[in-house]
This record gives sequence, C-alpha cells and structure tokens, in this order.
Amino acid sequence: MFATLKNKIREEIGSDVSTVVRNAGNVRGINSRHMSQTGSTSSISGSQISLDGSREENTASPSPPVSLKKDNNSDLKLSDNMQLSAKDVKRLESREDEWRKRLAKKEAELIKRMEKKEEEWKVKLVEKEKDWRKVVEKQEKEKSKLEDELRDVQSTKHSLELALKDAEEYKKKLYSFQEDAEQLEGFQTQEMAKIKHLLLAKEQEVEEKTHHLKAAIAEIDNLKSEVSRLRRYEDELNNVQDEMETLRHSTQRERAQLSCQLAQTEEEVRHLKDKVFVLEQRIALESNDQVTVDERVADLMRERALLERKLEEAHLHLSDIKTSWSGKISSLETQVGRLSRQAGEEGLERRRVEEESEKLKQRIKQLEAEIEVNNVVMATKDAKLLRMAEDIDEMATELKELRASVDDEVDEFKRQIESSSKQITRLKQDLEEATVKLSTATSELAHVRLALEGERMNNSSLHLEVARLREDLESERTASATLKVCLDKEKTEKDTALLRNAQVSQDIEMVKQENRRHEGENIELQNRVETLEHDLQCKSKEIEQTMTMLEENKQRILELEEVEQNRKKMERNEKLLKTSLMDLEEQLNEKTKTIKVLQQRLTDMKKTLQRELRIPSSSLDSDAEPSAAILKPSSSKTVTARHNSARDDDVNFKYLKHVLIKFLTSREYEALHLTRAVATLLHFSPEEERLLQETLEWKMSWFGTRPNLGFGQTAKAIPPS
Amino acid sequence: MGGLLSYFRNLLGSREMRILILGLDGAGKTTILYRLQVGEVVTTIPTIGFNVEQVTYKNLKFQVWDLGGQTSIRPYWRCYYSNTDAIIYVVDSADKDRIGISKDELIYMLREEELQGAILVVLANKQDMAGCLSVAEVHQALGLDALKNRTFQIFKTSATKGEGLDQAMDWLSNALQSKK
Repeated sequence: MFATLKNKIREEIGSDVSTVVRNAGNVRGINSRHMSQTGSTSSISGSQISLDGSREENTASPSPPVSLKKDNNSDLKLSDNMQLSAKDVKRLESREDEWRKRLAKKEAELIKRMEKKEEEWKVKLVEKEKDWRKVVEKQEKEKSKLEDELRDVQSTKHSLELALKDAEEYKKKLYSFQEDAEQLEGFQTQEMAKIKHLLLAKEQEVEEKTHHLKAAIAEIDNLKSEVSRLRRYEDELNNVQDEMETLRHSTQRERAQLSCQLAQTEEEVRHLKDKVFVLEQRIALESNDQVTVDERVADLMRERALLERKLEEAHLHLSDIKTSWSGKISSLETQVGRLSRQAGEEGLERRRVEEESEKLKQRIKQLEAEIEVNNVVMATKDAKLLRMAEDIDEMATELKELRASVDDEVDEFKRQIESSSKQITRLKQDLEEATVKLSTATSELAHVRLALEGERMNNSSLHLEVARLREDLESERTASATLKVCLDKEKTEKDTALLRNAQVSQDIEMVKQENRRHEGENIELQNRVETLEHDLQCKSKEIEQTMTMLEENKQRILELEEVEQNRKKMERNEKLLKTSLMDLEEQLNEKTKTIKVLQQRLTDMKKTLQRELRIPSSSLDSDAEPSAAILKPSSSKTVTARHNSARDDDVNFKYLKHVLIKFLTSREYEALHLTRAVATLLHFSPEEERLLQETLEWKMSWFGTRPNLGFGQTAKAIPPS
Repeated sequence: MGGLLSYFRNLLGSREMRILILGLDGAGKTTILYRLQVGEVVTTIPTIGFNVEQVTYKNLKFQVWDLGGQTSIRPYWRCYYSNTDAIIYVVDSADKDRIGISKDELIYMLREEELQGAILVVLANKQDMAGCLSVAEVHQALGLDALKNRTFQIFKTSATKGEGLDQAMDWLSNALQSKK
C-alpha cells in the first residue's frame, strides 16, 4: 500500500518521499496533538521501513492507534449528525486558522525552498558553466598538445624517413659488401685453384724428379755393374794386347830373318851363277885346247880381275848391308822408344780411366746427395703443402666469419629498418588517434554547448515545474483526505494481521513439538554415530593390525627375494664355474692337441736330424743316389710314426715329384727360390745346396766362372764335351 | 735368359712382391689364389706341392705362392720363407676343432727369423658357412692379441662369394707401399 503510494508521490513531486512524508507527519501531529510523540515517530518509521516492521511495532504497542480510533469516531459523528456546537465551530475555525497558517507557512517554506533550489540551480549552472569552460580549456589545451604531438610526430616521421633512407643506403652498402665478399670468395677459390694447380705441378715435378732419380740410380747401378764387368775385361784386354804386340814383334822378326835369308840365298845364287858362268867360260877355253898359255894367263887374269871386281862388289854389298843394319838398328831403337811412349800413354790412359771411375763414384755420391736433397725438398714441399692447406682452411674460416658478421650486420639493419618502420606506423597511428581525439573533443565541445543550452532550457522548465508543484500542493491536500481513508483500511488490515499472528504462534508451537521430536531423533542418531565411531575405531585398529601383518609379509617377501637373488647368484656362479670348467677342458684338449702336434714336430725334427746326421757320410760316397736318400727316412719313419706312414710317404713322394718337376721346368730365376725346398726334400748337405745355388746363379749370369764341381769320381757334374 | 729378364726387370725399378699364402689344408688357399688372379671360383684339388701365380692388383705386381697345407708337407713351408714380403694366413672359420692347430702353426711360423720383416694378413675364410666363428672369435682363438712388433690385420672373407678379399688386398698393397 505504502509502497505504491510512495511511488505515486515520487512521481508527482519528483523529489524524495521522506521529506514530504515528514511534512505529512507534522500535519498529522497537528491534527491530533494529544497523540504521543512516540506514536508519530512510529508512524514515520513505519512509513520509512517495511510494512512488516510497522506491523510488529503495532503489535508491540497497540495503545496509540486505539486513541486515534476514538478521535476518528468523534469526527465521524460530526460529519454524519451535523451536531455542531459553538465551541465546536470555534474549535473548527481555530483549527482552520491553524491550517491556514500552516498552509501559509508551507507555502512560504515551499517558496523559500523554490528560491533555494533556484539559487542552487543557478550556482550549479555557474559551476557547470565553469566546469564546461574548464573542460573546453582543457580540451583546447589538449588540442594544442595534440597539435604539438602531431608536429612532434611529423618531425619524428621526418627523422624516421631520414633513418629509413640511411637504412636503405646501409642496405645498398650491405649488398655491395656482400658482392665484394662474394668476389673475394671467387678470388679466393681462384687462388686456391691456382695454388692447387701449382701444387699439382710441383708434385708432378717431384714425381718426374723421382723418376729421373730412379732412372739415374738405375743407370748408376748399370754403370757400376758394367764397370765391374769391364774391369775384368780390361785386364784381359791388356793381356791380349800385350800378347798381340809380342806376336807382331816375333812375326816381324821372323819376317826380317826370312827376308834376310832370302837375300842371302839370292846372293848365293847370284854368286854361284857367276861362278858357273866363269867355270863355263873356263871349260869352254879348256875345251878349245888350242889356247896358249898367254891366253890362259890372260884368261886367268881376266878371271882374277872379275873375281876382284866381285870381291869389291861384295865389299860394297857388305858395306851396304852394314849401313842397312845400322838403319834397322836405329829404326828398332825408334820403335823401342815408341813402345816405351806407348806404355807411358797406356799408363796415362789407365790413370784417366781410374780418374773417370773416381769421377763416376763422385757423381754417384753427388746424385745420392741430390736424392737426399730432393727428399728434403719433397719433405719441405709436403710441409708447404700442408701449410698451404692450413692457410686455405684458415682463409675459409675467415671467410665464414666475415660472412657471419656480414649476415649479422644485415640482420641488425633489417631489424633497425623494421623497428623504424614499426615506429613510423605507430606514430602514424598516434597521429590518427590524436586527430580522432581532436575531432571527438570538438564534437564534445559542441555537445557541451548544446548541453548548456539544454540546461538553460531546463531552468525554464524548472520554473514551470515550480508552478506545477504549486498545483501539486493543492492536489496533495486532496491526497491527505484520501490518505485518511487509507488509514482506516489499514486498521482493518491490522486486525486480520493479529488473527494471523495467533495462528502463527500456534504453528510455532507445533513446530516446537516437532522440533523436540527431531531432537529425540537426533540423539538417537548421535548414539548410532557413536557406535559407528566405535566400530570405526575397531576397524582402524584391525587395519593397523593388518598393516603390521602386511609389513611383516613385505619383510618376508624381501627376505624371500634376497634368498632368490642369492640362489640366482649361486646359479650364475655355478654357470660361470661350469663355463670355466668347459673352457679349461677345451684348453686341456687344445693343449693335448698342441702337445700332439709338438710331438709330431719333434719326431719330424728328430727324423730330419737323423737324416742330416746320416746323409753326409752317404753323400760323400755316392751323390748319384738321391732316391736312396729319400727312401731311407721313410724306413725310419715307420719306426716313429706308426700309422699313415704309407700315406705320408705317398704324399711326401708326390710333393717331391711336384717340386722337382717345377724346379726342372721353371727358369733359373724361379728355380732359385726352390733350391731350398729341393735341398730339404732330398736331404742335401749344406755344401751340395750351396753348389746347386751357385750353379743356378752361374747359369743365370752371362759371365762368370763355373763353380768348382770337382773332377774324377767325386765330380758333381758331367764334364763339358 | 732368365738373368737377362730379371736384369731388365730390375732396371724398370719395380720388384715383384713375394707373398706366401699359408694355412691348414682345406682352408681355401688355392681358391683364394685363383680368385685373386682370375677373379672367379675354380674347382681345386688338394695341393700337394705349391702353386705360383703372378697377381696384379692396382698396378702392383705380386708373385703369390700358395703352399700346400697338409700335415706332412707343412714342415716344408720354411723352405720358402726367404725374401718374403708378406704372408696371407688363411683360417677356416667353420673348422672349430682344428683352429688350435692353426694357431700353433701360425705362432711357429711367426717365430722364424726370415719372416721378421714380413707383413701378416689373416683371412677368416668361409664366413658364408652357417655356425662359423666370427672375426673377433678367430682373432681371439689365434691369440693375435699377444702379437707385437708385427704389421698385421685380420679380415673376414668368403672366397667362394668373393667377399672381403678386396679390402684385404687394399690394405696389403697400402701396407707394402708404405713399408717400401
């Protein structure tokens, strides 16, 4: 009831209800002065607080309304019966006056209030205006600030654009730098390639040199061998030359002798011919017989003269011969001189050859030194190569570092660019925001102006309202009358409420009974809970017991596990022992095997020793019996090696056959490798083996002497036919 | 004539490397030799005696001697030891019973004075056979851990399939060249 009323009042007045109600209270207080102060306050409080509270208060103090009731009754009578005494009239008039006064007061109050309100409103208006002005100023300030900011932003934008340009320049520089770096890299690779090429060339050179060296060494060896070979020849050559010289000399001498003899015989023939001629002449003279003595004398004289002439001729011839002899002697002497000169020359030549050989030796040494030098050079070159490779590696790492730094710089520049662009965008955004703010501020300003006008309008409307309020006052008066009617209605309601109260108290008692019943139930439940708690305790105890049991069991399990582990360990140990036993058995087997092998070998050795001991004596006697030498050990083998001797023999024989065939069919160079095998197979004595080897070497060599193969019955070779 | 040839051979500067292939009988020595020479598997008979072939590998010439590995002719191996550059010791990885004998022969051989400078290549052959010993097992069984002062390497091979021989020959040729 009151709430709706309150709302209505609020709607009509527009201000708070409490003040109006208080006024109403005051009015009522005037209406019923005998009413106690408490009653009025209670009513106010009742109107202020909720409906229930007022009801309670009514129940608490029922006396004031009763008195009020009485008052009302008297009023009713008045209106119904129209029994108006003078006193009553006076009283009513006085009351009317009072009411008028009150009304006047109220009006004054209201007017005052109105004025106050107006003043307040004016003050408020002024304040508002001030506020708005302040706001406007503020906005203007803000605007200026924003403009400043805008300027700042533009300047920063400029600076950032500059920075952007710089950054772009940096970028360009960077690109150029990168290009430079790439160029450098290219140069480096080229250089590296060059270096590699150089290295390869050097290596090739070194290889060539080594080849050259090898060839030179080979040549030196060749020359050495030739020199050694030729030295022998030199002696022979000298011998042969000497022999030839002697032979030539002897032949020349013989020829000279023979020519001399020939000349002598010719001379003799001539002499004899002359004699024959003389004697023929004599015979012719003697045959004539008619010759006189004179004639004979003359003849004889002639003959004598002839003979004398011949003698002279002979003398001349002799002297000729003598001169020729002396010439020959001189020529021989010159020849002797020439021979001695030749001998000197030969000595010189020999010395020259020796010098040459020395020179060659020196050259060999020089070449060896050169080889060493070359080796050293090769080593240094290798070192250089390594160093170059290291340099290359270093350069590569430097390049990488440079590249990394360049990359870093690029990244940094990019980041700077990005940040500057971000800043620019941010500033642009700020600018936009500032402009937006500016526009909003200007719009707000306009809005505020509009509000101001609206306020003014409001003011006028308030004036109108004041007028309306006056009208309201009038209506309030009518409302007070209606309120009275409402009060009556309220009283009836209160009665019904009392009845309800009684009902409620009954209900409460019933509830209390129920409550008691519930308490009983509660106690029962508590008892049950206690028993349950007891049970729980028992259970927890049991649980503890089981827990202890469990722990015991766990301990037991742990013990069992330990036992298990021990068992496992034991098993492992057993296994290990078994494996070790196996190993030992295996080792034992191996050992026995090796012992067997060693025994076999020992027997072999013994056999060979026996053979070695036996053979020299037999080989001294007859070397043409190698088959016997082979067969002998087989007989001794039968003693030592009981089984598979026959097979062994077979294998041995096959082996011997194979090796011998290979030995006989291969060239000397290959056969040389087989001499030892043949010697071992045929149980040769060391001398025989050496002989075989020497023979092979002799066969291989072009020159050299045949080794001494003995002669007669102990000869080891068929004498050359 | 042979002298002349050898003389010219010396003059050319490249001496043939002398390599011995040793191992127990049936290890696959002859198969390996002919695999190296002609590059295919040939049918072989037990070698009583020896086989000599000239093998050219990467411009290197080897004179490879494959000596018969039967028990009775094993003592004659030592007749061929002089001037040997390298030994290829072939082990039958599937023959677990006789690997001990193989080890003994190897140790006995390596004790020889003439072979102190020779490079050793061990070939764990017949790796294609089921249940054969692995390289590590062969290495262990031959006691190669105890080998000192010796350039050696072990390879797993299968002569019939031609696996592993190239690696072994690569290593051997490198080792021989570095030794030279």
